[in-house]
Formats: sequence, structure tokens, C-alpha cells
Amino acid sequence: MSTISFVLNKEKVSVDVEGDTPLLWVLRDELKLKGTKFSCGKGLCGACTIHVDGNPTRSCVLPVSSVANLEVTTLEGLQEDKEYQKLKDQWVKKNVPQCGYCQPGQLMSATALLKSNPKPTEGDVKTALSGNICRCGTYQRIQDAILDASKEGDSNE
Amino acid sequence: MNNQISFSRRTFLKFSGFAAAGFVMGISSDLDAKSTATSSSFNPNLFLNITAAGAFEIVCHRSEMGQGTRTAIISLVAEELDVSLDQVTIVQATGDKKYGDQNTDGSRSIRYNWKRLREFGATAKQMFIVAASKHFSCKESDLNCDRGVVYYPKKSKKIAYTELLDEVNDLKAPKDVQLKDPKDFKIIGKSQLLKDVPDMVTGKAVFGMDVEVEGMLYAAMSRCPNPHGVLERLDGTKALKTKGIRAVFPVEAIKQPTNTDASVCVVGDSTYTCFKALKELDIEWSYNKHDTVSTKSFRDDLEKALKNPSKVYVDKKSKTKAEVKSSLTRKYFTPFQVHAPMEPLVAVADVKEDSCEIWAPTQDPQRLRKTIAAVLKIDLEKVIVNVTFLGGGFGRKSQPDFGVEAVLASKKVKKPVKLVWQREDEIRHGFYHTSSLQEIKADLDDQGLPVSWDHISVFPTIMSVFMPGANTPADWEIGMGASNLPYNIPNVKVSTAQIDNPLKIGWKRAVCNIFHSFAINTFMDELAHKAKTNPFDYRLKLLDEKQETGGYHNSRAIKVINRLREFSDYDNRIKNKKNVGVAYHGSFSSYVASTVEVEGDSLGNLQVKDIHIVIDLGHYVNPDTVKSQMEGSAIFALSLSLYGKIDLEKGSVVQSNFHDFQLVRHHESPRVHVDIINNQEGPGGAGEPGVPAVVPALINAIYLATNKRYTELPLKA
Repeated sequence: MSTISFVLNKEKVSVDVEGDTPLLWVLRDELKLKGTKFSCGKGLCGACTIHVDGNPTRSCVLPVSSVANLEVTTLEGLQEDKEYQKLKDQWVKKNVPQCGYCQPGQLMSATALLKSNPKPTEGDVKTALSGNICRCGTYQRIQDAILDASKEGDSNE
Repeated sequence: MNNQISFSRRTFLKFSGFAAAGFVMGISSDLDAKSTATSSSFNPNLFLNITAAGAFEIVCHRSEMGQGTRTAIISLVAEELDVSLDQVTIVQATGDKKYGDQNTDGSRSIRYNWKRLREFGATAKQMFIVAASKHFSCKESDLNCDRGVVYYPKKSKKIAYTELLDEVNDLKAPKDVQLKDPKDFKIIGKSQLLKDVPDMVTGKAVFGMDVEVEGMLYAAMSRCPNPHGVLERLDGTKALKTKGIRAVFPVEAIKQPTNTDASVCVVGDSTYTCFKALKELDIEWSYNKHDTVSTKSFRDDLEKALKNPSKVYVDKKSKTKAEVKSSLTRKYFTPFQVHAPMEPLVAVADVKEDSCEIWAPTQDPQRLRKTIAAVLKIDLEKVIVNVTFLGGGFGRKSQPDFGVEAVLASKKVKKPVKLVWQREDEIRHGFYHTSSLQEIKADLDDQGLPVSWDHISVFPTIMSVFMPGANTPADWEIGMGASNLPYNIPNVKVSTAQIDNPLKIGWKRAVCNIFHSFAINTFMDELAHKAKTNPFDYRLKLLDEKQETGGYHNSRAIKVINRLREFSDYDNRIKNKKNVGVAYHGSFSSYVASTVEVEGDSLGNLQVKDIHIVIDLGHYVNPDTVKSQMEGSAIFALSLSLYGKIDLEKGSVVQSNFHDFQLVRHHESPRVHVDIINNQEGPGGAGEPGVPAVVPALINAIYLATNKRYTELPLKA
């Protein structure tokens, strides 16, 4: 057991857990942030995607000790983010989610994509999100939502 | 994050008594004669609660797993009540027979509730009209309603429903209310934004995995890899020493009514602590003599069974003998499949002395409630089943096993417990989509049309889960595509054979329709090519417009097929050498035809391009939901065609996670185009019928691209 500190959604947090505990379970069970989902536990499906220093990362295989002093952002921390808001609006407008369980992870990957590549091609979108499985099969609507969000007005470059 | 518990308590309170401040009503029901209602004319099952503050609370008694049912169910009530969806708050029902059937499977939510729920809304609206006519001293026919307000246009007056609550509470519910003419629908038949999406995109939606109950512990299980196995030896000392672990104990398999496997449960302070402790368990399982089954041995069993048909379902014989010019025989194999919803199985249970409350992503809260009452040997009324959002279901979450496991863990430690399944548990302890071997033999006339059709379909039956030893498919399983063959062929025989189930078999989206459609549609395509006839024309030649089979009218099938040809621009694309495959399949009272286009000259470089789907499901509620269900069904069909299979070795499942049970991903996803036929037929299903036609349409496209006929799934085995 050790105390590990990191910046979570712009606020400094410290947790007392075993250092090998995946960040996913620290977020969900210790900090009670449920927007980050558990699905495969092996970094295969993307449901648990969060940002570490802005990079999309699978939190289910990321020991919490490895984010010490780094900046972690979850879906809850993106609520005021401009790229996320544009995406979220498209998600709502297009009825993108079916069951909705993978969608936080899809949105985390999509937001990271628009931040690094504000005008992605369809191919860019497919590649950037290929790690996010949706069993309901909402891929087409997700891709359309990202492309339409990227075309909206000034994209905050 | 206490949403779930406060939500449930609120719901429970509301339904345990009639709120005085508002207007609570139910309608007489054909389903629950033994209701506790005191008034003879009221027999509550579904509830509308209009609060004095103007909130329209409508109960959804079906489970939301991505099929848009919550928005659709309330739309039925809101339409006839004349309130708009933005005025409605959805209240998720607990599991209780007073609501009528709650088992969310078989694509039945709208089919079963289309009339019943509209009558419920119309009855309430009629009462507001009666009350308003007294209020304005006018005729009822002078009034009309919109957005929860009664209008009296002649005098330019209006009054809100919420201002009439005292008056309607004094009225008796009318019988035989008039439902709207569909042309007057304001909500039904028009695309609507789904009410739950805003919570889903902000992370606020509470899935089973997200439930928190005060003072709860966490649990995980190590399950016996073999469904027939028993615990031989357990040493939990090391696991118990893991920091944060409170208890380690064995749980015996319960065959009926839950079908839970033998397991060892660890309970601790967090999910991950439990996962870690599982690795420290020293367990020896004994499989007795059930460790010999493998994928190969089961395939051998199927082959043997196919040679010994034992039950005939259809035996149509023509009196006239046609001349046979040639014949074709083909054999088709499909493997076991697992559901793999993105949310693994999970439940939070709180077992008290003589009561139990559970929060679960269940498709069938009534079955879970009954099963828990039976396992705990307590009164049904003492069990509360709260239904959360389901992170996917596809049939898996209709089973009560995972809920019962949470109950057993909570009972043992006398605290609320959240039991979490890992992905490996979900893949290896499923209720699998059955594996099938089929043979179709057709004798053909001089035009290449079949004069006889002999179809043998062999697969372990779902019934084996309820009746151990059941080894012959039920009529309804064969009726999913095989015995209700729509084609007009003079001699038809459909039969099956006995085979034991090596695994637990369950429902999976579209069920037996998948493999029956795969065999029949690829066989038809081969016959069409043999007859040098376009596969659309070939099917149409065999569809007698006046014929009806198993409730499916060929006139509707023909319209769907013709519409697809036009919608998919089929003839032009074929002329331009595109590889476009075709298939048609009716299921769940809906009619679906599909084309799939592929590029590439081998499975290695295969790319699925556009998919076109035309569906006739009669009346529908939210066309955008129907479209999204077709899009999702297409991806589901591609995953099972390209990758999906469950193998067996020593009686246990080989696959374990998404690396060896692969699903189609973003970069492989095609464009899916959907067209919906408009008519006034009774509503059909939307969640499942999109899957079966896409599978053979893909196989038929691959034939055009590669000149190879694939008869076994998955393609990329």
C-alpha cells in the first residue's frame, strides 16, 4: 500500500492503494467515477479509455503507480471541453448510442483524435478508433458524428 | 453515485401506494386477474403518474439494452395521451407480474404492447376530456388535446391536464376508448431523439456495473471450466491473506432453475482486490467423465446424427410426379457462439433475513425474481428486482445465473455484494448460441427449379437447459426459418435428429434463424447460378404471392425483395462487375431482404463495402431506431460470419477474450443503408430480424468475388 498522487480532471488527488492496481479500478471503486467502463480487462476493447497527459490510454491495464504526477482526464473531466462538446452534440443529434456502454470510451478516443487532428479523414477516424469495440455496431454513426463535428465552424485550432 | 438506490426506493414507494397529490391510474388488464386493486373497474398493471407539478411519469416495464425500448414504450402511451416526449419522465419498472410480460427478448416489446399501451394513454386522455367538458360546460367533441393541455377552440379557452387532477380522480375509467387513426400520430412513426442518450454520453447512465449500495462489498468467482465439474479440493489460505479479502468459500453448482456452475467465491473491499485474490486460489476440479468433448468430437457427433433423422416436421408431398433433370446436395456447418455484450455480467444483491433486493442488468426481471425466491426459499413478494441499463444483452442477460450468484454471495457474508464477472468468465460460462449441421438436397426440373426440397437441421436444443436430457429441437426452433420455408416447392421435407448438448445452450439475437437463413439462402443462390438466373428472379419464381407460411405472407416478402433490388441499385452494380450478394429472410413477424457488396479476390484481402437492408415490420414507433437496429444487426452478422466461434477442448471452452473471440471493428465496418416499407400491418420485431439475411448475402457476395462457395462459419476460422 502506498500513497499515489496525480492530477485527475484538473484537481490533485492522492489515493492509498497497491501500486499495481489498474487505474480503472482506482477511478471506479475508490474515486467513484463510473464514466470509465470495465469490459475486457486486457486492453483489447477500449471501453476504459481515458487520457493520460492528453493521450488516449487503456486504464484497465495501466497500473496506478505509472500515472504518479501525471494528468489524468476522464469523461467526467471533459464536460467543459470544446471538442468533446461538439462531439457530444453530434452523438445526441444522431442517436449514436444503442446500449451506450462503450460510448464513453469511444468519446474519449474521438476527443483525443480531434485535439491532435482537427480535420480527420474517414480513414483517420477509422484508424484512431479501431481499438474501441462496439458490440451493438454503432460504428457508422460514430464515424459520421466525428466527421460532422470536425466540420463545425471554427474548430478551436 | 447513489442514483440507483435512491431511484429504486423512490420507485418502490411510488408503486406501493397511490400518491395523493397526483393522478395515478392503471387500466384493466387481460394479464393479471389477481391484482390487489380494490376497485373492481381498475386492475392496475402499467402506471401513469401525473404529478401536480406537471411531471408526466410513464413506466417502462421492458429492459433497455440498446434497442431503444424505453423511448419507444413511453411513446405508445404519450401518443394517445397527447403529451410530448420532452414532458415525460421514464420510470423503470421493478420485476413484477402486475406489468404483464417483462421478458425482453424475441423482439416483442412493441408487438406485445402496441395496442395495450396506447389504450392506456387513450383512456387517461378521455378522462381529461370528460373532466374538461364539465369544467367548460361543453360537449366532449368541442375539445382537443395537445402537449398535456385540453383546448376548447370555439371559446379560445384551454386548461392543462394538471389543473384537472382532482376532477379525473373522481371519474371512472371509460371502457372501449377510441385509439387514434395512425394518420393523426404525432410521435409514432416519426424519428425521435432517444431520451437516454444525454446520460449515456456524459457517463451518468447507471448500468449494472455502476450500481453502488451503501456498505457493499465486492465479489468475484473462479468457476469450474467444465459445466459438469465439481470441486475436489480448495485451499484458500493464500487468497484470504490478500489484503482486503474478507471471505473465500465454495459455491455448489445449481442445475435447476439457475444453471450456475460450481465455483469458488472471494469477497473483498474492491473489485480488483478480488480479481487478484482469485489468482491465489489453489483449486482442484473434478470433471468425472465429462472431459472428452472437443470441437472435433462434437462435429463427429453432428455428422453421425445427420445420417439418422429421427423427427419430421414438414412432409409435403405432391401427387404429380415431376421429371428430375439434376439435383444438388450441400452440407452447412455453424459453430457455437457467445454473446459478448460490452458490459460483462454483474449484479448487486442485498440479502436480509427474509428478504432480498437486487440491482441487475437483467432482460427478464420476473424470471430473476422467481428464481431468487426459489433459491432463498422466501416469498416472491419479499424480492425486489431493480432493472438497470444493460450494457448489451443479446439474450445472455435473460438468464438468472449471475443474479443468483450475487445473491448467494450476499447471503454468505450478510452484506450487500457486487459480483463482477470478468470477460473470461463471460466467454467461458455462457449460454451459447447453438452449433448446427444441416443438409439440403434438392431435385431440379428442366428449368433448374426445385421439385423437391429435403432439409435436415441438427443442433443441440435450447430446451436442454430447462429439461436436462432434451436432445431434439423444439417446433419453434425449427420454425425459425426451416419449417416455414416460404418457397413454393411441390415436395418439402424438413427433419431433425437427436443430439446431446455439450454446453449450456441459450437464446442469442435471432437464434436459429441465423443458421437456417445461412443454409437456405446460400443454397438458393447456388441453385439460381446453376439455373443461370438472377438470384432475385429465381426467388420470385418460387414465391407464390397468395401463399402464407407460418404467419408470413409472400405478398409482403415479394414487395421487400423488389424494393431491395431498386433501393440497392442492384442491376447497375452487377452490370459494373460489383460483387453483390442477395438474401431474404422473414423472422420475428418482420420481412428482411439484404444485399452485401464485397471487394477482393480471397478471404485474405476481403473488404465488405456497402450493405443494403429493406425491412417490412408493419407499424413501427421510431424509424430511426429501426434503422439503427438494422445497422447494428449488419455488424453483428459480419462478426459472426467472419470471426465468431466457440471451441471445446476437454469439455471446456477454449476462447477467453476479444483476442480469440474477435468482433468487427471500426476499420472493418461497411456503410449500411436501410429502407423501411410503410404499411398498416401489425408491428413486427426490429431488434433481431436484421441479422439472418445479412449472413448469406455476404457469403453469396464472396462467391461472386472468389468463385468459392463457403458452407462453414466462421469464414476466417
